[in-house]
Amino acid sequence: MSIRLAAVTGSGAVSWLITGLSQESRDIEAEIREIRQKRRELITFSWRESLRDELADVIQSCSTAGWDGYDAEPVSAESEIAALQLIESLPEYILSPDVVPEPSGGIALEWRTDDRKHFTLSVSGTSLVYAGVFGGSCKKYGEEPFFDVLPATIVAILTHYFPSA
Amino acid sequence: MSCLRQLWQFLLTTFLQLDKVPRIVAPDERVTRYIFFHRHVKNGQVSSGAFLPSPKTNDLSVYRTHRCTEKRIWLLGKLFVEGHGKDKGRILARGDLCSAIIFAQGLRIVAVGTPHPRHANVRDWPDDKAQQKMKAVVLAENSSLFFRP
Repeated sequence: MSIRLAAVTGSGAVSWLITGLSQESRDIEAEIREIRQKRRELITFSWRESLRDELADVIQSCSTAGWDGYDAEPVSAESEIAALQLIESLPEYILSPDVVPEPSGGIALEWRTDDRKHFTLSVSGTSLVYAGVFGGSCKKYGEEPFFDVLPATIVAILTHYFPSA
Repeated sequence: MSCLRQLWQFLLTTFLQLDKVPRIVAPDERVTRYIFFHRHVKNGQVSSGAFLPSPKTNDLSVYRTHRCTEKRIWLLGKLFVEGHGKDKGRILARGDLCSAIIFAQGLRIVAVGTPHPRHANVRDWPDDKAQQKMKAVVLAENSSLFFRP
């Protein structure tokens, strides 16, 4: 019982303890896996949900030309759909980005950290356009095809430079 | 009262337009980008979205605020940026950076002269979207954010 209670807290040390071969051990292990999966889903759900809310706010605020005080194009329905697809395709366990509208009418997702890492990603047609600086003189930019699945290059950047705490 | 205010604004605008700045932008000048949109400012930093060029002209409109007092910088924004064009909204903040950062990106700063002698455009943006983004990220990363008092 004490092991089961401790396991619910998600401690790594506890999962090391439960490596028995008995039926009870296996049950406990399965239960831990289920609890952890549910916790993960909850975190991911709230993270994506809040991004969708941010996106809705951006769509509303940027629906007219010149929303940036200059010559910006209004954010289009295509941009909204593309941004939603992009949000859905993001990997788990990364920092939550900010939704940033662009003067071209596109929508970018932007990650930033205190140690001068700055990455921006947006959808343009069937391509993902990205650019970032990662402290010092390390820069990466380019275009990758996007068909609902995030390319490995982008996943690698996000998980390496912007992992969740 | 309204007439007096308009007269005062006219006199102030005329006085500010007497400002003299060299046509060539020096590499140690302060350059200011006025920011109207709240999502272009986050956690005390300017977003790269604020430094992307206009889709119509492929330029980035800036002001050369070298040797201007804080009060004058905001006044320039109010009278010559906010005041131009309809429904422009209110300036919320500004991003300042050194002209050398812009030059280092292979971009040019060209004095426009209107509506104010300090108005300039950042030009020579590449057509490639990823390269544009990269330059905007560097400009944002090297800019300092100031909120309107």
